[in-house]
Amino acid sequence: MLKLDKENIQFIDNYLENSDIFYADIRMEMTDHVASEIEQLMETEGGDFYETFKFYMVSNKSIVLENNKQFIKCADTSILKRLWIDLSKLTTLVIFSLIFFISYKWLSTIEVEGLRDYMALFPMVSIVPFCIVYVIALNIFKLPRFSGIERLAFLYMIGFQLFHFMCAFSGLYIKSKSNFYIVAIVIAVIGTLSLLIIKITLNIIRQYRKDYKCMTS
Amino acid sequence: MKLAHFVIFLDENLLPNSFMHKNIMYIWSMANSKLYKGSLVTIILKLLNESDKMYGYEITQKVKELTKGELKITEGALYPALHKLEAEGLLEVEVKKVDNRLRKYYKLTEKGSKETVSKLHELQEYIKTMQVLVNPKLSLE
Repeated sequence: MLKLDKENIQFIDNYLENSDIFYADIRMEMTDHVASEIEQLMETEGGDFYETFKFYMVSNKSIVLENNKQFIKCADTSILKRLWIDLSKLTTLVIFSLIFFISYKWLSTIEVEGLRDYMALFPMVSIVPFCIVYVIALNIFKLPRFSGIERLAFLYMIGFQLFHFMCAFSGLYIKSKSNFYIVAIVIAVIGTLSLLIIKITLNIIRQYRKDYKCMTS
Repeated sequence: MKLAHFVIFLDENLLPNSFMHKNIMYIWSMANSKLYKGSLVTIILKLLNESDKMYGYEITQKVKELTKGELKITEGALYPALHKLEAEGLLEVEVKKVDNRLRKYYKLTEKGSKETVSKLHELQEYIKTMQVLVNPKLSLE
């Protein structure tokens, strides 16, 4: 059976990357599929690599790009599903209750005048560490861009917007010194969700390290 | 009605005799039809159940070979289905370097093996029902 050489494989990979298939895990699978199709075509129809590649891509490029979109959609669904599963666990309720209890006790012992300013910083806690770690991973360690990890940004953005809204909302209660239960609930929700998002991030990274060992090592 | 061979994936022992006819299972020609889309997941699970692990292109070729070209799975249908099954925890992946490139192999998880049995049973029941509807004589045999 005819096999493509390294240069041919790299050519396919570059072509797909230039066609906006950014994520390494998606591109790797597409490259293998396209290469296998081309090897088969070259074997049965004859012709050189570039001719066969051009012929194949003319009729299949739209399918390959559509597959990329579907893969991204699948990565988003998978992340949200993980979050939903974690949210429905009993341990999450225990963590939420614990944070709520500690926050409420803490709020009744401190001077709350300056708390509103600190609350405004809470949303940053969710997104800044992720951005720092991701930029370091890409630029310093030159790690490939994986769909599952990069799409986590979607979850972080939802978290950021939600936390921002909740902090603004709880700020009114802090200002009026009327109801610290609500403020404690807000802190507990933000704390619990942040811990879950961190847990999901670590699990996804661990999974990629296991499944794509030969790509990252 | 055109005969197709794609149900040869199914365990013949699990099917009633009425489905056997000249060693070919009856099913409607589903190539290029919306009908086969609902069975795609079952086909994938069944193939993976029969081998240790498979990669995407291998699955398309295996289906083509088993159905003698009657049924062709496009990558546009196959990969989203594989990724969905992976996200649902029915498949696990393994990446290996083969022929100058990286190849993603899929294999069934324990949950996936259980789901395969259930999906196959579901499909067999569906075929049985359809058989009764479209060919009552044969179903009475």
